[in-house]
Amino acid sequence: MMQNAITAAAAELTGDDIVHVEFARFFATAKQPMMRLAFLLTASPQQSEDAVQDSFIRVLEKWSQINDPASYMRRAVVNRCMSWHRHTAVVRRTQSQVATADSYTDQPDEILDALLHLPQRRRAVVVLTYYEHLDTDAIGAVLGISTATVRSTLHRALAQLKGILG
Amino acid sequence: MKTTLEERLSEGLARSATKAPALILAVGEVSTHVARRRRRRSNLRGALAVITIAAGVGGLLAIRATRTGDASAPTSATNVESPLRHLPDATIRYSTPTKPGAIALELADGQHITFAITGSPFYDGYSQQSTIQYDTYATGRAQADNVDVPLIPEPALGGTETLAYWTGVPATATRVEYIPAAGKSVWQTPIAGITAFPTAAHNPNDTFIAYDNDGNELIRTTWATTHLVSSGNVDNGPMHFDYSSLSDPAVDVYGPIDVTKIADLDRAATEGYTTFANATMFGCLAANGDAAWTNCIGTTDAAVKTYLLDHQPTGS
Repeated sequence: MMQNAITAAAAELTGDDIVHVEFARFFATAKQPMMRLAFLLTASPQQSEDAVQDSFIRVLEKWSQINDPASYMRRAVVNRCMSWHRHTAVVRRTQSQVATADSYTDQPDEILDALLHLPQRRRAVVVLTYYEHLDTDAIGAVLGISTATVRSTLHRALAQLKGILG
Repeated sequence: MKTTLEERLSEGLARSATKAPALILAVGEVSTHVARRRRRRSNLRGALAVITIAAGVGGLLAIRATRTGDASAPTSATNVESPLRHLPDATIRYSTPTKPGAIALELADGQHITFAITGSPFYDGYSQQSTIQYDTYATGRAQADNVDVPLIPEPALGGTETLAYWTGVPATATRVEYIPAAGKSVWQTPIAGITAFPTAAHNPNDTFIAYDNDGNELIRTTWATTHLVSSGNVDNGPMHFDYSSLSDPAVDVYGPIDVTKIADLDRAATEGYTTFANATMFGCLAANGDAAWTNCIGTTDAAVKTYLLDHQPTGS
């Protein structure tokens, strides 16, 4: 219903209005999948929301220059979620503890807890592989690393997770 | 065939993802935010336009004529300069200890990018890191403590979705061309072996080409490959991608990292530990001078390890 309303409205619009209608359609379909992706990467509702919100703003700003908004958006979200962990190891450690304490649910989540023990790149590779179901080429494009690095990172991540999850 | 672990991950991640909160943001808010930003930029462009008009069409033509005669300018008509400007040292302000020699550059879009070696608490000790800061982004790569790390430790490509940079450009290169996978090429004169380009849509297939003063191609590189085109004293070693993540390189440098000493610290204890660590490093530099940077990293590392042993939570 909403899609039809947007499409009908677009018929009478031009220029920037069309951009906004196209973007609104993209926003409606992408917002919750991106929130889920961000949540798996940060385990923090607040950081997820910040990352997704910033990424949508960036996508709209670059809309006319982007060929594949979904890929651009995914890359932006992953980059922002990773930058949250970036500065120093201590900061990362502190934020992970905060994220665990503030997590969205009080119910134990062994997978999410295990992910928090992984370095950021390994966590991203695991999430992109087993949640987004991307192949190594696509993951390499998202993270800006070679496919060989994707494979070795995934190998290390699985070894680490095996030790954590048993 | 999937292993049990892979199945657990697929199912567990799908289940965990459902716990993500709903995004409390309306599409109109995004549009409003972007419109506000554009108005600010438009106002700035308006001011620049007034200045440009005042400069006069004749002046612009004179500048163009000068450019045409510039030996280092590219030959492609569509290839324009994306200038890089070296900012004064006073531009660089870090709250953490910073090794002398940090560089700040201004990009064509007015943003600043800074390169520095900084000291930082690192797991159970203290370490030096190669850091790059741009816009709201910061990336750090842990370095060995006992060596005098240069500002650009090794050639690297990196960036964000709005930035592409190449550090460790050969010293003989006087011009670097940046060819985005989508968009027009631009060129730049490297500063201290660094080139940095604002980009509309960063892509792993973006290409950098370094030329010497005679216009000979020295190196052509993308994110994943480096290809030496001409012979000479150019280092053709493998180039790492520095997009983010200090974690894996840190493991490469330090081996397995011991997190047990900081694992049980609460927030107050963590702040106490980081404050002590940076204060110790600042104190060492004040007492011994900036030239003692590497020694100070070592002594601070030892002091932090002792501090953590003395400040473990009761019962841990």
